[in-house]
Amino acid sequence: MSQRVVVIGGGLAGLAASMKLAEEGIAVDLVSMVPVKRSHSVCAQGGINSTNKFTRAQGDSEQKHFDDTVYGGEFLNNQPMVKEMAYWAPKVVNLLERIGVPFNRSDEGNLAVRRFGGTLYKRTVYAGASTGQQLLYGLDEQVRRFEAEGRISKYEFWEFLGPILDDQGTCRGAVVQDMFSLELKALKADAVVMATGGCGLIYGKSTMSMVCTGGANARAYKAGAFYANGEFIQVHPSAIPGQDKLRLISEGARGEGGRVWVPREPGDTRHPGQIPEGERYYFLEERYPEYGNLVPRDIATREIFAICKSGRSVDPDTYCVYLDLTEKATKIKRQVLEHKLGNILEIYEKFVGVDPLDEPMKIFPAVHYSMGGLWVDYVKDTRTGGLVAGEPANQRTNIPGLYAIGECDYQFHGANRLGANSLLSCIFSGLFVAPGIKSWLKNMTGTAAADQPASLYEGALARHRDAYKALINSDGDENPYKLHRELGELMTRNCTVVRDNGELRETVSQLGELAERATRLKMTDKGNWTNQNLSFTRAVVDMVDLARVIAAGALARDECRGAHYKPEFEIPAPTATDKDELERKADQWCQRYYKQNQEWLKTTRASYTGDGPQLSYEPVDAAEIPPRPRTYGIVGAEIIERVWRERYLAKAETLGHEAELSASAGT
Amino acid sequence: MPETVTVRVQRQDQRGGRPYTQEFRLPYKPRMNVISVLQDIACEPRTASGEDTTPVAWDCACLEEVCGACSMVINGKVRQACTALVDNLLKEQPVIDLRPMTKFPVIRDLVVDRSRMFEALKQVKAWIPVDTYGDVGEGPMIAPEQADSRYPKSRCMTCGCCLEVCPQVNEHSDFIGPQAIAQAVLFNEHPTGAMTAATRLEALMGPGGISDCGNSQNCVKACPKEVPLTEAIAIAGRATTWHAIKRWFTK
Amino acid sequence: MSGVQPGLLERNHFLLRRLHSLSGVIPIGAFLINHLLANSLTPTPAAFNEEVEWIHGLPYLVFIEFGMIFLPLAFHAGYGVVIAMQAKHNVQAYGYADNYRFTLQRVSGWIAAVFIVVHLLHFRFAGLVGGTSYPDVVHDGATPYGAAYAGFQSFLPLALWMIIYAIGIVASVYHFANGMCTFCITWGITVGNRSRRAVSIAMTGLALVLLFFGFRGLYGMSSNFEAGQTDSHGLPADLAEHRGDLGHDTRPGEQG
Repeated sequence: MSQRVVVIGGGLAGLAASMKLAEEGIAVDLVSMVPVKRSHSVCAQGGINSTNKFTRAQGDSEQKHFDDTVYGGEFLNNQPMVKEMAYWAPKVVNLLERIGVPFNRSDEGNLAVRRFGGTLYKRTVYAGASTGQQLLYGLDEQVRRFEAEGRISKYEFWEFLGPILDDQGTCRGAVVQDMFSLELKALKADAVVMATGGCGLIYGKSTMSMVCTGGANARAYKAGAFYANGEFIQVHPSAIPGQDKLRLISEGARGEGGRVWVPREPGDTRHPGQIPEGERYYFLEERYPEYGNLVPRDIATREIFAICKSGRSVDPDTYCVYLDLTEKATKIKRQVLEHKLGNILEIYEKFVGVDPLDEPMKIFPAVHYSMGGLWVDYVKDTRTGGLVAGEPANQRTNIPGLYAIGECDYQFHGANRLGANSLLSCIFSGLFVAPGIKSWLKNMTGTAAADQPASLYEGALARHRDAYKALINSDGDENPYKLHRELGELMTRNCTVVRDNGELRETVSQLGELAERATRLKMTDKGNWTNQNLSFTRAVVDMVDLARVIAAGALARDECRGAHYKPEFEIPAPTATDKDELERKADQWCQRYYKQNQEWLKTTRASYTGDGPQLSYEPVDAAEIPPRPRTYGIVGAEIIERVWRERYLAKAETLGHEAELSASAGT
Repeated sequence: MPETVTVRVQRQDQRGGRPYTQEFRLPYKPRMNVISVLQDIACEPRTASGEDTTPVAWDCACLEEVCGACSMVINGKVRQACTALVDNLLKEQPVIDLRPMTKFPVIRDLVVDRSRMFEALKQVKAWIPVDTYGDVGEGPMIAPEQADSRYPKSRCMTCGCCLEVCPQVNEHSDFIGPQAIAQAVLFNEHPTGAMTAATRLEALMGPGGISDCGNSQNCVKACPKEVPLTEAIAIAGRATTWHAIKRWFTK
Repeated sequence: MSGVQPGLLERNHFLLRRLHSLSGVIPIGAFLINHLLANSLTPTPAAFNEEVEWIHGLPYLVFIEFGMIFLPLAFHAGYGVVIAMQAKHNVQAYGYADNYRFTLQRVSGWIAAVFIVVHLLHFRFAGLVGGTSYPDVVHDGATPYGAAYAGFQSFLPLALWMIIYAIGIVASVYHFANGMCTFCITWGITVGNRSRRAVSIAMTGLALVLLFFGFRGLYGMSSNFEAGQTDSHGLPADLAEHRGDLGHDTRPGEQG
């Protein structure tokens, strides 16, 4: 019988996997809640990172991209995967170029580049300010090509309800539901690939699309897959508020010279145009002279939070700062900016009604990306420090036959993702998973899914049919939309930029209550045709489950790392006027940081129980690039860097070896 | 600031069902758009006259006008619901009017079936037929002018506005619509795509193809992403003519 | 069209559409320009007669008439009807100027088609509706001008004829001039906005000139009619003297 693979989700990762699998001659069923061309990847704006000829000429290399990525992720990323990705990046961009993505070009016809956060090199290639859209379309077109040939079957407007596991716990397919007719189908598959993106809707409003509930991820998690590093949620520094969602203003705006500032005097309510240069506080540039406005997102967000807390917010109701392109708009021509950033300028103008080239944009931080996700395995190549291509374990969850790629996996970005690395990780993991699945199919022991007993699929269908019928007929007293808003407010309040154990404990218990209330939901639509109420309500239940993973993980992790910031456990910066005193304090700082890494340089792994998540931890492979203080050259931290280099660096090299040993022994 | 917003929605329960209208009254909130109006209706689906009803079904995803999902006819004009701000709509007329697009079969309420647009992309072979996804080096060098010509066409998000406003797209005609024509041009303008330009042109030369365009130029004005559709149609018009002549003389 | 296999039409769809577009310019558009220009340049009955006589003296006239005028016209009109039936107008919702032009193109096409049929039955094929066709008039010894005069006296009052002709001319000129703009898009001549605007302006100019020609011809004719009298053959008395001079083989250039 012919073997098939089901891919759930048609964003960049899902499409990349589908086309690569199809090229390998494997039949693919591609399932998506929206036409794949409308997947959330369209929202990515700024670009995709890879070492390129321009940066190479300045001394850049894949190794530096690798280093920037793990430094940006505060060393929580398993390094073999990141290394492999960084070395693949130029190849990924080459492929995108070949399939016709209309990247901006230099005068000579090369790919144009710009700088993004967390690096000093212009490593980001882009297509205007809608790079994600352009990449998605490029891959969508390739998938359509196979679809036209009958090698990929699309199930658009179908929703994933859960994996089908056999008695041995191997994934043998997926149950999906037609969102129009509500028909259920058991898709037989020899491998199922989750490419279902992030879970921003847990926060109510975020920069994510309406399908990014994390529902599919939660369904895999509830079927037994580990969910890792859930507590790491990226809050993007620059978005614009809205009633329905928070709209992203790309880091590319800063990459093209946009400057972030507030009035130097708290409470200054003058129009930005009337505030003279000297009375503007370019706080990122002053505090981080090296990286300036392009510090990593977690840092930029925290700085914005802190500056707004000090009374300098430029909006009375929210935490807003100026993102200023007007200076650039007069210096270089407006057209050039419109050319490079058109899409975000349009978004701002359409929603705010102000041309950002005339007046500084008011931006504020918004939930943007989930670094965490389904736990996946990898096989390290001990010779290169990267991965062994074609190993079935790569990108595989703890459920055999169930894979996860893209934002819905937990890898690549550690505790904080660098801008323009997500498009890369999505496409890379999509392309990279395919040869592994091919070997999995080739070497499969036992029968293929097509030869499994019919009872396996019938049983799964019956279970899901009962569940959805029960849900559609449920007549409780809880309004799912209101419950979702409540969930969003709770999570936004307590699980975003600044985290506190007291509040987190409260959140965990409130989430338990929400989970209980989510069993008593009221459906306002009991019909069997295009019932959007059903789909949303089902996702609300799932969102509560994932929220519990996020909150529990955050509560347990007593440290500051990347996007996870608990002031209580922040190591205070060494200050002293006396040189020796300062040296001693810096040493204390390094000692604490070293201990923090000893204790917390590990992956959180949540497994589902009816009473909420059960957490366990796994060491991180940081063998190649030992952890170091993540200062980004903030003024005053030079001494920390020096002390670490002199006294702790060698010691730190042992920190990430535990995982390496266990990885090579275990797989 | 008004205290409430009144919205009239054309609804339809089934494919081929009879449309009917319902009115909803909701508390006004600042920065409201049509999406948030529909979200508020979904939260408490009750008509202005106080009757409980089902939530209005509609299509949406990104909410920032890059995915193309939420096209609908708002106050008589097709547009994206996400960028349709309530404050602006109320300036047009006191009751906001929401209807599904008319050129596509209604699935339910404001949800329509746009699969014909995706089928059209297959018809014009809107892709670059690369040899392999393997690592075979860089793509062709492309002049900035060429990239700049392609990018605006590549922003087409398959939203359907151009088909909705096109007088030539309707039940009496097979016209493929401006979107697919622009996409054919997009790929013919790429150095690799140009190698298979003839197949895309031929796909546009049958009944319902490029020659069914009536040059009303509504498409280019209604396009929310300012895709240069008329320009693309003109380019395709010229290319198909040359192709036809060449084919006639070389066959 | 019922005799033609649908397969053939479908196979040649592109060709047919292109021919439709082209035929509107050459020969129909060219003929329209010539026709209106010629009429405006013949303000006196004598000049009118000379012109008509010249035309009717052309060799192989029947092939020219049918091959280059009637057949293309019939095709353009007939296929135009097929095309016009496809459109679903929406100017109420989308009141863009170009959309109005699109709708007017179809409306003017209908009017022009009907008008041209009337015009042909009025003169060239008047025999079909009980009148006297142009060539026969001349054979009978009447002048072309006299025949025209007779035509405008029959069926309807002169003023109504003038209104019908005025509408017909406006519709035809609009259809031609706007058709030229869309022709330029269809054939990929005006790709960019600027060139489209330029052609649009140029065609507005051309339309005004053609309308001027058309109305001048119409005015010349009606003022002559009003000033003149009729003879027993339906000819203005003051023109009767010219009758004998107009031989079938006389070239206008040889006249004094």
